[in-house]
Amino acid sequence: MQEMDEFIAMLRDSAEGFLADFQASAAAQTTIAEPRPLQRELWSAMADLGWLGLMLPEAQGGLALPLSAAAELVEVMGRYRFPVPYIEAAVLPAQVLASAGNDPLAAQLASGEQLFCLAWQDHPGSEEAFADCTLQDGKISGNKSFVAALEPGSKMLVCVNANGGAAIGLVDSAAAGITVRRSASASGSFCRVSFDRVPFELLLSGAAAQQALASALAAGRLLASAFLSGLARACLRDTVEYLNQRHQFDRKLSSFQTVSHRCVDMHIHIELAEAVWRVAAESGTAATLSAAKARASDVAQDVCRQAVQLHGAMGFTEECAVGEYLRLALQYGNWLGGANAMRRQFQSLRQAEVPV
Amino acid sequence: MTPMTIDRDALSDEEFRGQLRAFLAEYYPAELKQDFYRPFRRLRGEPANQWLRTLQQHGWRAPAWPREHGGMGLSFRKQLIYHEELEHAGVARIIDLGETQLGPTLIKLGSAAQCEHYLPRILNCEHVWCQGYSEPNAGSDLASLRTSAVLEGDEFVVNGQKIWTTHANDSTHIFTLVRTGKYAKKQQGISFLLIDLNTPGITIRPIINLAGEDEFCEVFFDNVRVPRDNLVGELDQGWTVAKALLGYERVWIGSPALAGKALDLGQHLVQQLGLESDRGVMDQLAQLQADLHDYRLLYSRICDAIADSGKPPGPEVSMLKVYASELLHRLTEFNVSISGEYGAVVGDVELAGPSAEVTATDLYWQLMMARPVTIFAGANEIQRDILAKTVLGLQA
Ligand SMILES: Cc1cc2nc3c(=O)[nH]c(=O)nc-3n(C[C@H](O)[C@H](O)[C@H](O)COP(=O)(O)OP(=O)(O)OC[C@H]3O[C@@H](n4cnc5c(N)ncnc54)[C@H](O)[C@@H]3O)c2cc1C
Repeated sequence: MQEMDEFIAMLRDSAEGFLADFQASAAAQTTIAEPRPLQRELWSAMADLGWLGLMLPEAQGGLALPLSAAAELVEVMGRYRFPVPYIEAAVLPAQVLASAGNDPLAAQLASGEQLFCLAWQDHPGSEEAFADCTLQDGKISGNKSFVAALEPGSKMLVCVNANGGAAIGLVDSAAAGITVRRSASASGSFCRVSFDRVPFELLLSGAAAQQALASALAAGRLLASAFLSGLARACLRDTVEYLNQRHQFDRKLSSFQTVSHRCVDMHIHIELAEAVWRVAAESGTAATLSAAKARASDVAQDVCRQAVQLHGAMGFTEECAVGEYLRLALQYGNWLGGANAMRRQFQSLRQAEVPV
Repeated sequence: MTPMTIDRDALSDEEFRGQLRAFLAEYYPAELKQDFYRPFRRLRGEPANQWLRTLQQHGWRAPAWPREHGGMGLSFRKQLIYHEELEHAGVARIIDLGETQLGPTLIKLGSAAQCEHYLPRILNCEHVWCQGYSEPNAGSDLASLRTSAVLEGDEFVVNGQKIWTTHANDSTHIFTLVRTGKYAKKQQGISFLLIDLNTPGITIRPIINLAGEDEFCEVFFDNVRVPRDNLVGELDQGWTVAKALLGYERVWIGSPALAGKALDLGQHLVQQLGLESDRGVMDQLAQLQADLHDYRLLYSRICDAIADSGKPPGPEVSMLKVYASELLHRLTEFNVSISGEYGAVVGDVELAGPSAEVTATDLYWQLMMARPVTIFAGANEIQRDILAKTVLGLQA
């Protein structure tokens, strides 16, 4: 246990250094409303740090760390408003490949030499993944929505309906028969993907496929919560710094009570968010995980919106970081389950957990 | 100056409304209407000027200006109808500060020569004005502004910097508050000065906003020579000049129009996403619908009182700005929160639902464009201070 704590402290430390350097580089710049391509050089550097295979078994080139360690790393990414689809392109696909026990593919992911993404969602706002795309004669047809981190050369892990059963398999994103509609997000893009008789290589089927997807989504939700919590904390920290240095009416803005009290309220909410995702990371139930995602999604969006107000006109510009925080809060706060949906899931899971 | 020949103020309210509605239906370009993609669409630059000239040609420009100055000379009540009809027809907003701010200021406090020179040029869009009040260190605390204007013979020499100047990059002129004297009270010693943006020594740098648009700018003044005649009102009395119109500004900013457009989008999203049977969503929508409904009634009540009194609005109109802008926030946040993953998109998106129909929209844009309404024209915190002090009598 203590060894793990020390390891996590080291992981966080090295992440701080790496992310601070990245933050200061030109590569960190984002453009509003334009899909942001994944930078392969950066991705390789993340592979060298062991981040891409963080939770993969050592046999697959991974570090075999628990989910809670990944959450720690991602919380630091949030603090540095890291606009890179780590959860999307590393964590989600790695969970599926690990479940599939596919050592060669997992090793390719961990080394950064091959990009992967997970195409699971049948319809926006729905948890269904194994209905819309159907497998016939080794080829799939149908649609997927909100596929994140679909990059040139990516291999897609697609959830399909194979004769009424669930299946997950590999699809080459360059294959004929694929059409993509792309919209921008803070750290990359989302795609609506249509498949028309596209070759499919089976990896998992039946309950194993369903299990694999469930564990990938659970990991994604946890990490998104940790990211949002770190993001909100950094956004509040920056805001406090700004309020402490800006004067109006011969006083610091921080000295106006309506301003300082609002910061305190934000702080309380961030503490709530962190308390929940940490328990969810260690030992939490499914209900706790849903609660974590709901809380973090709300808190991050709220803190970032308030930060705009408290920065005045400066907060409405791209010259300060508030916009970058806010866009990431929108991305991870509304993807993989927004606050309303996650609270409803929390409610039904909790009812199921409480013994009658 | 050509006075306005048509007197539409003499029409009955119904006739007036009918004529304006017919005019807008015939002349306003359909492709420039506000829609679910750009619910708060604004025009600037040439498209804006073109539309303003069309208004001018047909006698629908400058509703608040007296007819002898080329305006429509409408009563306050008819001005309200005017704005309602523009909203109803989905006419894009235009930030025409020459018409809404400078013109009325000159009519009230400018010299005859200033009126003669500037007013017609505002009406025909030869001059496009922007407002240079804020400075890097003078935002909420505007009176601490430092851009200086020193008299040298017949000219002021202006040095300093303005910031957040909306559409300076589309404008030909700027009306400014500048420091001309030093007094114990910082509101004193400020003058209201008109400056041609073509004057040597002026540099304009656009600033990108959260919606990705270069809508506001920094304006730098380096030994800019401005004729003394460009002073409006008395030397050192600019604060009073600028304040003369603040009440009206707050009334127009308090208009429920933007919130109305945001609610239209929200109602459409509920339908498009098939959420009509979602009790939680419908409860939230009901709240917002009732809030807007009730607010429209408060807005009319306060506006009617202003119209009946014939006096300029009092400090209570700060209420309008506070409520309308915060309702707009809540509406645009609702639109994001009910839209699931679509709310994670930054920019254009085609939103689909259970039906075959898709809606082209940009939820990020509407969320962002609603943000600054609680900041500009006196941040809501400052408006609350005004209300606390002047309306409630809360003591500092
Ligand atoms: C989109 C946009 C367009 C604009 N266009 C123009 C323009 O065309 N011309 C122009 O001159 N200006 C323009 N402005 C500037 C605008 O008037 C200022 O933003 C506004 O006065 C607030 O000043 P600030 O931005 O410096 O914020 P600050 O004054 O620094 O305030 C920052 C935060 O602190 C709060 N605060 C400040 N003082 C107090 C207090 N006493 N008590 C409690 N809270 C306080 C504020 O409410 C705000 O939340 C524009 C601003 C925006 C956002």
